[in-house]
Amino acid sequence: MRHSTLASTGLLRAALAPIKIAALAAPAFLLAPQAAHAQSAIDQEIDALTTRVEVLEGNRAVKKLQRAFGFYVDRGLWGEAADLFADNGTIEIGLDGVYVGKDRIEEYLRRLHGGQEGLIYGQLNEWVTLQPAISVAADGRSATARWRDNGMLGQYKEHAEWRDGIYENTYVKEDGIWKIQSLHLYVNFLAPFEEGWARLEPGEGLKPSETSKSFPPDRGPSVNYKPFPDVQIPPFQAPNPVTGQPVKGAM
Amino acid sequence: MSEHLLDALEAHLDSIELRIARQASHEAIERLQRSYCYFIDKGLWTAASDLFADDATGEWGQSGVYRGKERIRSYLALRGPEGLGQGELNTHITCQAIITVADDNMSAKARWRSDNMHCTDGTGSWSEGTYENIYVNDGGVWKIASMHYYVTLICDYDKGWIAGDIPMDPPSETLPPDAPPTEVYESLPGAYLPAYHYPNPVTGEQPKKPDLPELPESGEDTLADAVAALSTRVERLEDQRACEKLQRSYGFYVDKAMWNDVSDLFVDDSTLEIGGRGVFLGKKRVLEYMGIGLGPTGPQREQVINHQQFQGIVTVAEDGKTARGRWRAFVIGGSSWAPVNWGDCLYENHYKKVDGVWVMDKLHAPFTMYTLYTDGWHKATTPNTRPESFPPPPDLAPTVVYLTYPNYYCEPFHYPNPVTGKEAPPPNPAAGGVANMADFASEES
Repeated sequence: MRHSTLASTGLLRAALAPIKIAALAAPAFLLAPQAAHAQSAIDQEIDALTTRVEVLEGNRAVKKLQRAFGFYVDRGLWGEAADLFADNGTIEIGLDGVYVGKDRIEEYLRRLHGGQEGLIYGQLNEWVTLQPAISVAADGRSATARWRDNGMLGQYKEHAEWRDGIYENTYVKEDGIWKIQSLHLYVNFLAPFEEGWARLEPGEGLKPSETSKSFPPDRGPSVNYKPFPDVQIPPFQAPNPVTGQPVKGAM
Repeated sequence: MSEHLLDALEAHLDSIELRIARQASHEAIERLQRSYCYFIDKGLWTAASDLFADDATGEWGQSGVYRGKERIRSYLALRGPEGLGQGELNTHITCQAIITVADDNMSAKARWRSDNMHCTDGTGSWSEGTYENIYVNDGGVWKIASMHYYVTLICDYDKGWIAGDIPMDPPSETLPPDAPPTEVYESLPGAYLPAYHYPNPVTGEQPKKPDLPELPESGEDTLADAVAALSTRVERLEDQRACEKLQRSYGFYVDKAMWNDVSDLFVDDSTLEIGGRGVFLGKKRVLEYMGIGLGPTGPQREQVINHQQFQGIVTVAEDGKTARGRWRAFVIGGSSWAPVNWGDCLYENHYKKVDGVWVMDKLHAPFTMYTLYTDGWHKATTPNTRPESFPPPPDLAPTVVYLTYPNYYCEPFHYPNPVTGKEAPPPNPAAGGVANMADFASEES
């Protein structure tokens, strides 16, 4: 992605220079329209810079949304987590398929974690949410992001797991508010703490949840998953930031 | 409009534009470095080396220095085939960026950390290290000019750090580097402190502010007001970054037991409250908490106390005088003389701006879960600390009393829901309650 340097500053100066010269040379009765011209050039510059600030604020809003999602799910606040989505937003985790809309997302998350509000005694559900690579559209109204998921999950005295995954998500700004449009977590594995990931047999590290069977999704899985020990490269939505070319090695 | 006002507005807009460009550079460098890690995750060596400038250098642990894109690609490919082989894992979790963009926006430096999960030939391992990198703005495209990755630790998955330390590889014989290692050091059990590219954010030299002509008072000129409003909006983004830098510096300093630098992030009326230890008042007591309670100053051999600062949500007040931050610390701890553990800790912190510098106002860190590396969180959990757990004693009792995992505690959120704008409801009174508590009771009695 290309980034503006100071080029446009020079343009502003160039646009204003003749106005100033004219203003100095012109008789007083001609000053008003020239001043109006200068004002409008500055207005335009403010508008252009404001758009760029909105893109920066968009980056911030996207980070906040996804990190907030992690912090809500950590503590079993399913309604709060679902409220971060657009009305027609979607969620797809591992092999569970796609759930559409806030209500379905909330209920899916709740059932996936046992059906209660909050967590139960001994339930650990840390969705550590890391490493955002965000691309906000130039108009500042939509964005994509790749994130890292590192899950510390388990039930005391029963089981403990590490989860490794990649999110490729989309975001949208509606009426000035950024929302999650689609959350797609490619789970690479869910590995038991004691054995670790190195002993996972093919197919062992990723299975459809029981919830996805008792509370089926609106649509089936959107891709064919090949979790660890296979090597799967979740497709990159964003191009290579230096070459600007699509990232090869996608499935 | 007067010539004078026109000049003043122009000067301010120039300055704002540079500040916007520098903020955009922060985002671009984050994207760049994180893309590098997403690429090497999956063995995309060519895509990763494309992120480097033509004359860039790369150095990883004791690899020695590789010069130029093609040599860097060849070095990366020593790890395996393009796209990784079956059963290979190379996950690089790269976080905690402290980016310093040069005043002219043409170059930048950054410190990062990376936690890595590996699998090679059926054997799992963890590793962790620090990047100190240089980036260059090449005609509007940011590229990596120099990558230097310092290894803190590599360990066998089953044994963990301390018991299962694995030394760094020496320089490759099949692809010798262009120059020997620039710094010779040992990873854990050794202790090494990679130099920081930036001074302490509170006591160090502060970034210079441009000398700009004064604008008319608020309400006198609509254009001047619009320019001032835009400037404030950019300043809030800068404030947010300053608070992030403060929090991330805290983590990097704690990692290396740099207690003086840690306490320098606080001021005389700041407070610190970690776990259940109670409240410590002021910078001096922060230093005592660290120095008396947590061991000698400076990194120690056979010890790791990484306090990795992740997932920060920083909210700056409208007036730009205070801010809040929710974070988590992902803790890798232990030594040859103390338990080796995983820890997970939350923060709900307060920051404030004192004479133009963001400082730690209240550090509040409720623990979520600590467990022994050898056992895992399903078998062993460490109860919350108490004021008397270890010296020194606090100045005040804990502001909140709670139990850590396996119990449930939800620290209130400083921010409303980002979409609905509503405060999160109080925790469900039944949360964390009886599941099969009878089983636990019988087992532990």
